[in-house]
Amino acid sequence: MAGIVCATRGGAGSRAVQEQAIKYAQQQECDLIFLYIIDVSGMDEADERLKPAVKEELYWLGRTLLQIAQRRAKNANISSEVVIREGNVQEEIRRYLRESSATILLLGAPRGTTTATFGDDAVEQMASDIQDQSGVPVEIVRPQEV
Amino acid sequence: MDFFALQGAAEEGSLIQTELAFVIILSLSALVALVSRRIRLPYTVALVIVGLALSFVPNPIDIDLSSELILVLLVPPLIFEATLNLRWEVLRRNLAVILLLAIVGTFLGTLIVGGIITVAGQTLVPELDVAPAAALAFGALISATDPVAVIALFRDLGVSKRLSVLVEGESLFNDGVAIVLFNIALTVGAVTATGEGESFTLSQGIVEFLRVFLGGLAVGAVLGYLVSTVILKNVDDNLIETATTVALAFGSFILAEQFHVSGVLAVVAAGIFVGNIGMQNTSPTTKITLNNFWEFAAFVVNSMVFLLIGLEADLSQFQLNLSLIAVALVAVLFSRTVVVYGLTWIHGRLQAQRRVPLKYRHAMFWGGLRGAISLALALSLTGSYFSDLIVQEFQLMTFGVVLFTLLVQGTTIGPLLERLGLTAISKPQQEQQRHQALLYATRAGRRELDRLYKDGIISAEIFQAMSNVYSHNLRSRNQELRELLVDYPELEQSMILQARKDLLEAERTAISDANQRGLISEDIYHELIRETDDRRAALDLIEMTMQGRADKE
Repeated sequence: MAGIVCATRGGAGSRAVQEQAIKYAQQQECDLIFLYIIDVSGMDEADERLKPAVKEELYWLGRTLLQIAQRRAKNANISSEVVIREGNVQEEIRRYLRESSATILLLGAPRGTTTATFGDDAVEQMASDIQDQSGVPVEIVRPQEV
Repeated sequence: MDFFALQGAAEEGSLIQTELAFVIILSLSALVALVSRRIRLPYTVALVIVGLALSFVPNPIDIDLSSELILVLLVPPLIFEATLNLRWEVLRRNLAVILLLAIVGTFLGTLIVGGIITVAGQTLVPELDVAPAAALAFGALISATDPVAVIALFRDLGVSKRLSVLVEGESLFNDGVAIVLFNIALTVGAVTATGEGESFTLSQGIVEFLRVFLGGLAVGAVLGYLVSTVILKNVDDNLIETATTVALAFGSFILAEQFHVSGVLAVVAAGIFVGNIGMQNTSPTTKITLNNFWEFAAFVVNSMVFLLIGLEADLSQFQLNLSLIAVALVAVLFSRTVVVYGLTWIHGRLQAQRRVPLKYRHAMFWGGLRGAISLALALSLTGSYFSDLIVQEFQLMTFGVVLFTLLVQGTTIGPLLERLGLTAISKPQQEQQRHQALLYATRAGRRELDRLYKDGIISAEIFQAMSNVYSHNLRSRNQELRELLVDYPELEQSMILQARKDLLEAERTAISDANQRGLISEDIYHELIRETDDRRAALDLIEMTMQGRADKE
């Protein structure tokens, strides 16, 4: 299934990236997939007991955020799918891109970041790595500064 | 004349005097709290300033700020209230660095301050020429940090839970450690000075320290566990349950001191048990009563402590002994620098994933205020330990350091946090809260309007007219909130997490209710409650991780 994949986590860039993805889906008349990755690697080994609960709550948060995104797409007359994966963010995105034969990946950037002239922006680095390893073009969408 | 009648009258006069002082303190506290909220000055700092101002004019507040008053009467409720709000999961995650700072840090701070005082006394300030044991006693007493002023500000500014727990946790544990080290230094000093009593080896000192430290925690843990699982779980009366927690706060302190172990640490352990187990075992009504009662108790006690600090400080003596206070300040700030930056750096090497961000270290360094415990220990010094002159000098230096940290660090920590970008309640979040509050208020008004109409208090015409205005207001408030979320989509995530927490709280109440009505067995009840609590703790963890990520960014 070829289509636009929009990875979202509910951060500052989430609305901008979702709107851009919806716009592309309208223009290209292709599938739109909203992707959320549950990544518990930040919660280290001592929280082992809580990990199942953390996963469940992140799943809950992800489902809610994806439903909001899906509703936005629906309001623009675009049908979309939602996918939740679990694992390392970068690895899971790459894996999904391979499985879904996506045409483009859109990523949101945190507020306050700019296009990194010297390539030191963490999101830009991640985008570059994903693009190199998956062969799928990656576009970063930055929120408007208010 | 009847002697007993005279004595009775005198006691009555003294009682009325104390009562009057208490009335004045409460009235002033209310006034100061009101004003300080408007000018965004920490309430405790404002109280000290008012106390200082009052000390220049005759006033009827005739309460001596004695060591006993602070330690036995004022400290237990303050510590108990602070620990009630400490969530075990968050504390546990940061326990390694907290204990490192509280135990190794206090020990290191004691040595550094003691060393600087000794060297300064032998070189720069001859009037401070004291024995090493005396210098160490001062080092210990001044190493206890007091988070009251800082934590209140943290709450106002919405600083991350992790930073609050780091500051509060360190302070709660280092109070106990400082007291133990202080007593060991006094014992060593007395033995050295008089040649009487058993001398101390380092290993004996460590064993003694561990006995007092762990013994205190054990006493508090046993009592806290009993109260949480027996009284709070089985008695369904908010007044009896609240009274029991008061008895626990003071009782754990007294019992531990009777066993010659740390009373302060006993209260810490008891409070943690009640806050994390007892509170979950009790009804929502009792929970609210307990929270309200302890919040009020802490307010009253803090008001007394900080107002009396201001009243007792003798500014004229400060002017005459500036060099002493300057030495103490340099020693305290230098030792804080080494302790905070040095130990958190070591911790970062050992637990890289839980490294304390540099911004947090700055806040922890400047937020290391000194307060009630330091003063209590300084005031407990008498001429029987060291000469009267040294006792006076140490008390003066302690007052100087406490006032400096409260008035200078306490008033500048807020701007520092803002500059470091650690104030979690950003402008958009403040706006979100304002919009949500206005929405709640407007909806409540609307419901009241419906009731007035249904009860026949207002006519249909008036109701219709007012109803239209309310509907319009509601629409525009909703629109404003939507626009805010468009500009700041990240607010959505925090709103979802907050809503989820509220939902889990409702689920928990429903499970407790089902248990009380006998619908589910004890086993099922415990299983479901544990599951819900894990989910609640997981949400805290998620929130903290997200906030930590933002703080690093």
